[in-house]
Amino acid sequence: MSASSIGAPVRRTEDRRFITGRGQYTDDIRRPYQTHAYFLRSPHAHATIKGVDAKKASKMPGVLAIYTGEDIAKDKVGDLICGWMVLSKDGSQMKAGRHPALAQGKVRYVGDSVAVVIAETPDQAKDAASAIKVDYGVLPAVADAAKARDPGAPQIHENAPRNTIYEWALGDAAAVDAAFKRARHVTKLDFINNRLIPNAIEPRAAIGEYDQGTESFTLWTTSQNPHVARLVMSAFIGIAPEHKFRVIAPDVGGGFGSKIFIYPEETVCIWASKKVGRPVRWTAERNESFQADAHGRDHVTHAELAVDERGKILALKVKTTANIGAYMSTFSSAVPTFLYAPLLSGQYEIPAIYCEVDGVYTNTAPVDAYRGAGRPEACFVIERVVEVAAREIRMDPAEFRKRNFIKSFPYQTPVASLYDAGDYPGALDKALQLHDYRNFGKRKAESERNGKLRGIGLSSYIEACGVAPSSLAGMLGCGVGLWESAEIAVTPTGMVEVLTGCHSHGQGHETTFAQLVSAKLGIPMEHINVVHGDTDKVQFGMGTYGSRSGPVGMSAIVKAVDKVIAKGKKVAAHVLEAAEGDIEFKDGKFQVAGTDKSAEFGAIALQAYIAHKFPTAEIEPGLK
Amino acid sequence: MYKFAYHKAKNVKDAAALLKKAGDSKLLAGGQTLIPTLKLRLAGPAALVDIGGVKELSGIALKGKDLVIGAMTRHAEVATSKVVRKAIPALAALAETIGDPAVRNQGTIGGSIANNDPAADYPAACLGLGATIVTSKRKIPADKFFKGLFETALGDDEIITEVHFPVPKSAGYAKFPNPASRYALVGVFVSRNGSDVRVAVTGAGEGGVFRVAEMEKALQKDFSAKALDGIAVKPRGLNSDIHASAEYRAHLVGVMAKRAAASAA
Amino acid sequence: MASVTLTVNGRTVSADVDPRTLLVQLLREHLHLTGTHVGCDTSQCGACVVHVNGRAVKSCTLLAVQADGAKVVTIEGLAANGKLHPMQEAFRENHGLQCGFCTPGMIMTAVELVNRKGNNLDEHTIREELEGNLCRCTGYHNIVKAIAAGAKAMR
Repeated sequence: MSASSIGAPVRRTEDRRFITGRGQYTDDIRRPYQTHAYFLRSPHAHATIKGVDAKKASKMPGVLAIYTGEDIAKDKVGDLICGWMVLSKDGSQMKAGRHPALAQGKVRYVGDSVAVVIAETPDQAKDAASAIKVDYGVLPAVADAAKARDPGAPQIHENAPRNTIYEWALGDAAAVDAAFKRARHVTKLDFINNRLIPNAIEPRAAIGEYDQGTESFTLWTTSQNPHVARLVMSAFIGIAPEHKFRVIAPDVGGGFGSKIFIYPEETVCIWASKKVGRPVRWTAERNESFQADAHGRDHVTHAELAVDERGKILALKVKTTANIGAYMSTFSSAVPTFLYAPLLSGQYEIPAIYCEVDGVYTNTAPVDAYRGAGRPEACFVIERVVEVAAREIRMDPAEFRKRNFIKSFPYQTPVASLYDAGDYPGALDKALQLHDYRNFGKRKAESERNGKLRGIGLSSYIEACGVAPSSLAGMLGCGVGLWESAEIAVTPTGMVEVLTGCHSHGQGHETTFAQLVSAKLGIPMEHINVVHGDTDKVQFGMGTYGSRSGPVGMSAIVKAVDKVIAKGKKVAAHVLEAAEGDIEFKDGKFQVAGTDKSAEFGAIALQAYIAHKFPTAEIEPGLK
Repeated sequence: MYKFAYHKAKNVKDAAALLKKAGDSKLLAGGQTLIPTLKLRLAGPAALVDIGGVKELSGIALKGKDLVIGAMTRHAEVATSKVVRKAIPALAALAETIGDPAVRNQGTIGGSIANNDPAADYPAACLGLGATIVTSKRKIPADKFFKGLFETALGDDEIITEVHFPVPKSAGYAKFPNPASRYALVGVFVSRNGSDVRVAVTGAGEGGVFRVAEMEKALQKDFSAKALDGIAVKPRGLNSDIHASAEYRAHLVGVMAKRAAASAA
Repeated sequence: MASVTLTVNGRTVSADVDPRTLLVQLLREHLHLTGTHVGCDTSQCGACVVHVNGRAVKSCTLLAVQADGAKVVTIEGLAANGKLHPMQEAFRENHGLQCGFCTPGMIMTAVELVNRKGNNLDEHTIREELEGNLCRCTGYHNIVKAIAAGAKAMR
């Protein structure tokens, strides 16, 4: 066994349990005396709930309890929240409607939960749910974002007139208008970026458990960010105090964004576990995943590009209506605004950009971050409008792109983003070369002779990823710190626990993070255990999404490892009877510079825990 | 699934008796359609009669001019059977395109025919080969068996035991599968057996599988893909759904018929 | 209730079950063999594939009572004496998995595929045979590579 180096090909540590069927996903966990929850969901997109009759259902075999929105209200369970404030261009706050975990008075989309049945078995819960009679007053519904604000469209939340949550804008409208007046050519386009459903292969699941002795709660859940789930459920929903609330996200079978959010179902499981006095579990059927996981995208956009006589872009104007769905999911406000508009400059030098985004309610499942979240939507807009503009002015699309690429850095876009470096023409040239772009015409002609059609498309892409603490994030009103936590705990035998606030749901952190620590500490990967997804073990974390675990999570690990090495040097200096400044750490050894006096990492770890001769004013026992 | 009583039949007679006795009951063959239907609570029979253990219902044999396939024979067995591959290779090829490998390992020919899904493959083979469906009570020609969407000539306690396929001179099947389910968006089975030429279409018709007389006439004169040039099926009476419009399906019938004829010629 | 007796991974097991119990529920809930997963309600995803009498089937589309008397092998029963099956090894070697949820079904499907179609499998055949197994992470590329390599190693 030897230390690994960063970038060396290694086999994934986590794979052994997955290929032998020994992974532990939420639905694989069994708790003593567990019960099963089944959610009765609305078959209507929009309806008032005139009454819920659960008399017959509650007497059915195995049924322990049936709860509705009224019980949630009686217990003062807080609403689900959207955690990112977006201000309209007039300065007013976004108009978020209430989002109770079980519908109260009204259902607003197909899949909105009306009641939950807790029973001894999943089949019994489902049997009873089908015996509940809900008296619905069906209302007209609107699903299409473009029609949500039509006169006569049904009002979905009382406090959001014309179903409008916000009318947000970024950029300089006056500069854009002036530039359009100078334009030789204007390209106008309408797009629909269709809604989609994330569909991680593992359906969402939750187990809530209440310990009457310690008055503490445990939630196992399919989460990409268990600490954020705990924070939101404690601070806002108020179902459990944070210090007595443990959230565990064990092995998670893919997320794609959809497992970031705090949903009604896990909220109800944890709340109901105290009420029924037994663990409450729920696993979504795939049908429910389609209905009740947050969806992605769903933009309706009009874009205009102003071009001058030399084929230079003068300005871009974008107007997007973003479908937020029936309720505001956890980060729904930020995705079509902060994660979207700042990328609209793409790789192009566009002197003026102005973007308006209207977030609207519709009678559809909530929409939130999905794979790229806002950024692919922006890329689609800019690349499509650039491609069409090139064709309209009869310029080769590659040439048009090159002519407008940003060439000097740093570059401040008109939409807040600051680019530090890049070689966009170089990258495009390489791609064109690889594809023999110059001779495409010949290939096309040949295909035509054979009765076939051949086409070619170009796209360039720039993405803001690895969301980290930054001045831009702060400027855009981001409410959370976006940093990541890491802790390196060395045991007396020199084994290392890496506690990270990131969460792996397929990314392979257990391997990558261990490899980093192995390389830094010069110890074998087998001596390293990466711990994640448990709020009782890891002090805090922001979770994994937006390609952040490498750049942010691993940066935190590097800093933590450096602290361990610094502490190790203090211990080594004491053990080796040398000055701290003379201790070097290399290849897993602490060495007194210029001498053959050294101690292995493991030996120093042991000494750090024995510690009986330490001058404790200078060195505390332990190593982490 | 809703609750149901479960009965395991020892033989066909036993199964018929159980079906009759149980009243609101369903026959369970391979279950590849029935079980998903029950899971989604789209059906709630009071009882299931399982014929999975009835050995006499499985098997493939050539009897005289007929290829005889037992009702409980799995799709995978039909697809890989040397007897089927030699006698009616198009039928083996058809079985190979049903669902996915796990479904083919469990699903049965009798189950597929009895269910008569309008997009299933086997009904096209039965009608396209002029098969005879043998039941616990009688023999039913394919032309009189398929009655409409999920409807057949089968009585409540009548059980398919065998399917007799006359071995044709040549046959071909071409389908345009739905990429997710592998059900036929349109599938066309073509065969000729002496002067009897048959063209059967699945996946397209509002009333399930149907024959195309005009195409049969043209192929009688000249059994080739070219003979079908210019013969168009009208969209009227064809399915229209999120997967394809009636017009699209009508066009596909023409294309698939030609491919089937080409592979059979 | 109905009683079932079957052999699972070489051990004879008996249980009294509600007839509507699926084989996958028997495996997961009664026998705690949670390596067999459920990813859909419609028999499409293949995360639940196990071998019943040597045939790969979807254990979510088979009643436990239908498997009465059968020999069942699940992902937990594939490695013999602590040694990984060559197909398991190939999945690890070729990075044929990410989140791991679809992996047991993929491996069980792959092993039966090799049993049926032999050790030399081309890419087209493998992709066709994976029709009933969905993966959301990998894009299938490395799964196909893993199965081709695993097939050779199973010789």
